[in-house]
Formats: sequence, structure tokens, C-alpha cells
Amino acid sequence: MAMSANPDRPEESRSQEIQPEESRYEEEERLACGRLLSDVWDAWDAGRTADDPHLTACPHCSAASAELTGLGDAVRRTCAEEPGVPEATAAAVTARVMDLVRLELRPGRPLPLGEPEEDHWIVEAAAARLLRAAVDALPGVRAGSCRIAPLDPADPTGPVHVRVEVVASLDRSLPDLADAVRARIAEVTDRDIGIRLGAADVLVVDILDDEEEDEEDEDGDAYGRHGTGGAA
Amino acid sequence: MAADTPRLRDRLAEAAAGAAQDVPGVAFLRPGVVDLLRTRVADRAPRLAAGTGARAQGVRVSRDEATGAWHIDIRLVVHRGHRAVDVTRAVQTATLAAVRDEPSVSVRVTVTGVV
Amino acid sequence: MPGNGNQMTERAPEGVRSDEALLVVRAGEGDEEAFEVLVRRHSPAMLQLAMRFLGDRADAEDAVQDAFVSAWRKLPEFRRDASFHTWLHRIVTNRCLNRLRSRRPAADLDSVPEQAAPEHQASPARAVESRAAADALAAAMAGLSPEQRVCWVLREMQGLSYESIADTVGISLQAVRGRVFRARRYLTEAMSAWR
Repeated sequence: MAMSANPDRPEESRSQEIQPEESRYEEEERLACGRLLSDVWDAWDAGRTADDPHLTACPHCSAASAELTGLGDAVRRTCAEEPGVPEATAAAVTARVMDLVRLELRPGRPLPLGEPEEDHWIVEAAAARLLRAAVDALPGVRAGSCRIAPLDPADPTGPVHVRVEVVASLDRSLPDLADAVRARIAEVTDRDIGIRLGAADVLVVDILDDEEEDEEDEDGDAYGRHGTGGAA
Repeated sequence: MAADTPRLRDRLAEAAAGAAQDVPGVAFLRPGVVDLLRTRVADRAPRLAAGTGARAQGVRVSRDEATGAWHIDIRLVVHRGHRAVDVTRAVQTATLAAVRDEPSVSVRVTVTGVV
Repeated sequence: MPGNGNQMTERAPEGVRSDEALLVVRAGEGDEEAFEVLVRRHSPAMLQLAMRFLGDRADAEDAVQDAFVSAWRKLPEFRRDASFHTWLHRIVTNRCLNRLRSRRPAADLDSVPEQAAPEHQASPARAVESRAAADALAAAMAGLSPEQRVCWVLREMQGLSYESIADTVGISLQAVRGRVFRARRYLTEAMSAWR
């Protein structure tokens, strides 16, 4: 109110308005005391109003600040009044999104199932999901990236190469952990899927948070990647 | 003969789809997922296996004009807990049995998902 | 989720973030089940954000739906060290900005603040009711330009820093400051007419 009723407000010059530099926004808008409205509000915004005795003593500046406080109150009340998002709405949106996503799947390359002469395949995304689930079932390990490709790019029906990244807890040594994950992959590729495993790389890329403890102890851990390769 | 080919193709696709769907471990045939959609987006979705009717989605049948041999391409989603290659082999066996009147048929089976 | 005006700056507990990083990687490699978990987790906050931008429930739902589908398409290129929440926030914001722009003629982008407060806000009899204050604010917000509205909502309702807003909307810091200032300028005037 203070600024809109301000009789000393300088005339809005057209030349000011079309200045290319946007930083000069409303620079011409001064309160009766000579202060720029933008400065008064910036101080309010930064919580620095109390630092400058003029801002609280000056009737124009304090009125301008009060306008912003009033607006802030309205915002707070509006946020408090917001009904929130009903669970059913979020669920319906999720369902619609997933319906659309399922029309645009990214299956990845087909990988050979069974023997080379058989014309049976499984897409990479499906095999990766099974491998990740198998790795997740190990205690203290969770799988992230899982890429599967023919070991020999020239032989698309040959054995495959698996590269899996895991996040693991620290309760066993990394070589032991990598061995356990690789053994699990060898077991699952054969017993649960039927793809021939040529080699498996296991990379420990992060340390698993202990679910029971909420300590931020792993943030600074620049844990080296522990890569192990080799035939399964 | 040539005029009968499309009808025969449809019949083979239907037979293959029916056989594949009854194999334990098969959740559904792949483009059939469109039919399972929960919302109305399914109505707007393009029919991927056009011309072969809803039952035969996920099955594509083609014929080598030179040899007269049929090729049936089946895409499906398997249930977790079933060994993928065992499912694809059973699907191949069931499909070949369902189209055994045709002298020369090859079958390709692709697992496109796991549920 | 009740509006606390500060969702963006809240950090998830460590465990949630680590779990989220795994889900994002999996979804990027084509695991739609992992993506579904992410959509379910983030849709309430994104719907509320879109609602604040657009002020219309059906519009907000459409914008969020579009944003998630777009996110699914772009996920393979998502940088692993980035924050998924921030990235999603940016996609939703830009979807909503485009929707706001398509609602009104393009000519009056930043000239709106000079217009008078809408007449229906002049109902001082209801001044004490906070519901009425919320209604008046909602009505006044409709008078902002799309750019002003988006920057102001991110600043005042989402509690973002000017730097974060500049990053989210993809404009300069000075442009953000200018838009927030003009939005405040317009809204205080519109609200004082109501008071």
C-alpha cells in the first residue's frame, strides 16, 4: 500500500522499461524516503531488516515491509489450507504414467537362452531384473547397474558377460563379497534363467547404509571401486 | 493358394498364441500387455500385431515365399520362479504341436519380461 | 502431504537417498518396476508443486503425468551424480511453465504487474477468514505472468533459493530476482485491494 500510494514515486519512464538489462528492474521505484522498494524488500527477504535502523524507523519502509509480511502470512495460510494430494490421486497418476511407460519399454538387446542352435532369447532388461533380484537376496548387498552382453560381440549366440555394480555393507571383505556375488550370478544364470555365463565382473560402488542406524557415516567414504573379473 | 495365405497365417498365429498361453510359467504374450492396462490409454494404443486379432498378440507369423516354410515369432513375459529357458522350450514344443499340420515350421521364442 | 513450503530443501535420510540412487540406475537401464517405485514416491510432491503452479487439479495431473513419461525417456542420459528429485522438479516446472504460457496470449509476458487487481477480490467482509485469504491469493496469482508465477511459487511456497530457481527454470539470477520482485509487487497490490 505504501508504495502504490507514494506521491513521490518517480514517473515510469518508457526508456527505463525497455532497457535490455533485466537487472535494472523497477529501479526507478523509490519510496518517499528515497529508498528503493527493491532494496527494502531484499533486506526483508534476507532477514536483514533489523540491521538497518532506518528500515524500522521510517514509516514508508516499515509499511513496505509490512506489505510483504502480509503477503507472507497469506502464503502461509494458503499452504496450511491446501488439501494436500489425496492418495488416490497420486495412485491414479502413477498408474497412468506406468501404462504409458509400458508402451515405451527399453528392453535392451536379446541374449541367447539355451544352446547356440536354439532360437530362444531373453531381453537384457528381463535378465538383468532377475540377476538384480538374486543379488539383492544376498545379505548386505544391493544391486544397481547390471549390464549383460555377449562376451564376444562377434558371436551373438555365445556366452554372455555380466557386469554388475553393487552397494554392500562392510561386514565382510570386498574380495569375499565379490566372490559371493559372482557365485550367485553363476548359479542364477544357469538354474533360474538358462543363459550361458562367460564372465562376471562385480564392482562395489558404494557402501550400504545400515537400515537400523541413521548415522551419516558413509557420506565421506571415498570407497574405491573393487573390480574383479574372470571366468565364472 | 495365395489368397488362402493370410487366413492360414491368422490361423497359425491363433494356434500358436493359444498353445503358448497355456504353458506353465507364461504370464502373457508380449504386446498383450496393452490389453492388461488399467486405464484407458489402452484404447488409444496402436495394435502392435495388426491383422492377427487380439488373441494372437505377441505372435508374428511369416512365410518364406521361396521354400514355403513358416516362421512363428513369439514374444512373452514369464512368471518369476520359472526357469526362462524351460518355459521357452515348452512354448516351442506346444506351438509345434499346435501347428503340426504344416510340414515346415520354425519357432523363435523371446522372453521380454518377468513378472 | 500438507504444504510446509520447504520441501525442496529437506534432505532425505541417508538410507532413502542411497536406495533412490539404485532405483534411478535400474530405471535408467529399463527396469520399469524400479521406475514405478520412483513415480509412486515422488508423485505426491510433484502433484502439489504442479497444483501451486497451475491452480487446477486436472491440469496439474496432466502436467505431472507428462513430466514422468518424459523423465522415463530421458533417464538413460541422467547423470548419476545428480539429484533425481531436483531433476524431476525441473522437468515438472518446465512442463507447468509451458502449460501456463499456452493459456494466455504470449504478448503480455512481463507486463502483467501493471494491471489492476481483479474486481472479485474486493470482498472485505470476509477479510478475517483465512479461507478467504487463500482464495484471494489464488485469484491474485492468476494475474501473474507464467514466468513470474513459476519463480514466485518456487521462492515463496517451495522455499527455494534464488540460485536454485535460476537453475531450475534455466534463467539468470537477475532475471529470477526481477520476476520474484514483480510478482511480489503485483500480489501485494492485488491483496491490498482485497484487504
